[in-house]
Amino acid sequence: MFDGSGASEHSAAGPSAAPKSSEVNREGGAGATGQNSGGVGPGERVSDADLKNTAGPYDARAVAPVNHHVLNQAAAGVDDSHEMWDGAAAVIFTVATVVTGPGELIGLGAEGAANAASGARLARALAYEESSAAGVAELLAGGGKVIAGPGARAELRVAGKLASEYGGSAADWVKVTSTGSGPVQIHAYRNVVTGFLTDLKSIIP
Amino acid sequence: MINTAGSVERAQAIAKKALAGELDPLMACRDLAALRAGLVTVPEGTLDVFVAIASEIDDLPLGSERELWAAEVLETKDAEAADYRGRVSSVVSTALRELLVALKPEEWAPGDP
Repeated sequence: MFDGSGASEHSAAGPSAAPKSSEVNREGGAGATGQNSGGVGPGERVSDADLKNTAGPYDARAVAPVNHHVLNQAAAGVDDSHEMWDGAAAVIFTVATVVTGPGELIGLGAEGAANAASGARLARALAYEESSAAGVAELLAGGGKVIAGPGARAELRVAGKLASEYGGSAADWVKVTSTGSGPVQIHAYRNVVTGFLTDLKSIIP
Repeated sequence: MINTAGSVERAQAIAKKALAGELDPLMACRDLAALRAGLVTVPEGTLDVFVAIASEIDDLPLGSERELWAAEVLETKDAEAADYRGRVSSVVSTALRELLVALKPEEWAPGDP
């Protein structure tokens, strides 16, 4: 299990180290034919036949027992059967619930405000993302509003550069903005003759 | 929908300073574009002037970011800013007056100051 060997028994075996009811269903799990009957019921153990069909050396009897690295140093003979770990997890959860409260344990108590803030941030980030995507889609579809260049009050600063870089004349270029009401607007340069769109950027009003 | 009080006061101060020659009109556009959400009574066509010019100059080092730029590059960028400032000063002045009228119509007329 935790020692990496696949062995789950301990050499310094105390009374609890032996797998509980280990022999009760060892052979019965595979059925009379020795084939996998499928599934292991409560209280049953995995059959030898099933163990042989697995990839790992899970059959404790086939591998020399190895001390548990951590637990057996502190308390020799710790049972690391799944029943023990199930029980241990239940105890840990119970204690944690009593000490911290169930809400706090799952992040709704003392850290609730922080989590609520995280939720708000996530919601805002999602709104920004959706707004950006909608704005880009609008401009790519030929929509949007001209805010600079021919047809607008403000003059383009780099119309000549756009023409020399992407073609057309300076008068062909405008700056457009998306028109959605979301938290982000998309600005871009558009060649009104060809519809070519470039230099998109997001603006947060 | 109403104007945001803080935004109105700031916008008025910016516009007055820019019209008085105490503030770079390009910087005024940048500042006013940032306030537009709180200026709902200002005509959209007026706000678009500030927004468009602010968008056009966002690669120009005009404010405190100047200290992060190399001197030789600043020289080039300042020349670009000066050229654009000259080309848009008239439309910016008009838009600033429109803004003041929209925010405080009883105190401002389109011809002032």
